Amino acid sequence: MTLSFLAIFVVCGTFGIEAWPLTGWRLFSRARTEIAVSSLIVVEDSEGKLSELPLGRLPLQFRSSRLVAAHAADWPAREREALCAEWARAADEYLGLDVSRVLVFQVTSKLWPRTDDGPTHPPVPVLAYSCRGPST
Amino acid sequence: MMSIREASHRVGQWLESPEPPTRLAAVRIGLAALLLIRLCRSTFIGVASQPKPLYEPISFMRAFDSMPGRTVVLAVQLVAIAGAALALAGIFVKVTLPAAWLGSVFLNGMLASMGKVVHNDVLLLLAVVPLLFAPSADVWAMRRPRAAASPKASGIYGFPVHAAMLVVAGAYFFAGLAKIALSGPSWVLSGNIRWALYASSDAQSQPNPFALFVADRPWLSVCVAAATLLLELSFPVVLFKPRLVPLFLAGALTLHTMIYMTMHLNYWPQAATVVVVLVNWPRVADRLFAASPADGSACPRCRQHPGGSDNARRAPGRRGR
Repeated sequence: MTLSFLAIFVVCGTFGIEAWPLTGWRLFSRARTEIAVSSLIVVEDSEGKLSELPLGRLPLQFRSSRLVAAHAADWPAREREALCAEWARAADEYLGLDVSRVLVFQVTSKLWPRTDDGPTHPPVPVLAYSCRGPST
Repeated sequence: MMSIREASHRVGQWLESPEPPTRLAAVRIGLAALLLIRLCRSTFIGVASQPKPLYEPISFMRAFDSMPGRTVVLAVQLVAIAGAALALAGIFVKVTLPAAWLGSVFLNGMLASMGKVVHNDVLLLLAVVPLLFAPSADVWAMRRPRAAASPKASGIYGFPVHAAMLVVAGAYFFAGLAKIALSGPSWVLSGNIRWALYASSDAQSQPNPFALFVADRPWLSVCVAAATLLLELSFPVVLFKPRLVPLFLAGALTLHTMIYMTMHLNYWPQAATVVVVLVNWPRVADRLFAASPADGSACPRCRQHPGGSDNARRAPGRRGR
């Protein structure tokens, strides 16, 4: 059994196959460039005020929301609506926010040139998608 | 030049080379302790019953329609904790260690199903596999099998230890290989580390002085990248040169400490796994507790002990010399 396990371990490592917990060990294997892309989840309340969804104040279950938000750009609209409804529900339940709309931005940052305060160029947010919250 | 057949024969010989039962028991105790510590986290209950739209299952977790509920998670966690504690004590290890391992795989599989493959505990989980059904409780156990009255060094004890060492060395080697395969020389030469550190620092609530110290010096970033790749690709050397274990341990611990300080990514379970598996604990125990007399010769009792100095000298890299 151990020999078979070692063989599979080597095959996964050699060919970069992901079969968790077996893995291709690709962490940080793609070279980064000076352009960094991330996701930003913004909620709009009933008065039209926009604010970033403070994920750090939500339960652990929402910890990876930014990653899921990025993946959801390719999802069918119905699944995205369900995702937005969960964020809106969490914002209401844990933060007392009345969310009418959820907006997900793809934020592109140019890491160089920079000063002590960070990159010289401000990050550029582009709306990836938006969906309605449960209150509308 | 050595043929593939000859190379695999030599690797097979090395895998089955003898080790004292204490070496295997030490690895069992260390890995079971790590499993136990990692299983006691509240994170698993925290992510249980996650809303379905946020659930992104990977691997075997696709068998579950949504993130498992709190009751299931708590039950699995309690069984796994009990299994790890009993395995640590050496009680019914062929049942308790697999129970702890299965529970850990399930619970960590949940964390890896939240949008990102999580590697923090992967090496620990994989290093335990060779020990699952090994006779790891023949010594240093609260409940020893009758047949194991006074076990001697043997390939039965050497095989699981060496297989776990292979997994540890392989993890670093394949991490280096993936960097070469996916990025080539640009992983070192393109400023890759600079951009990764700048991006990480910018994402933290306060600018990270350690990350910025490296990122602000392009030459240092290239040196760090080159040293990382060199360490990873050369890691299998420890399998055949036991004298270099301290060097590679220092390298791995430095790497993980730097990653934590600059990027706040905590890979301590992986670093601890490396230490548990690669260090020859019976030899360390000999040196610590059976200190040599002033003339430098080892104490006679140590030589009679199954995990004593004599057995410890049968390091894989020295076989046949």
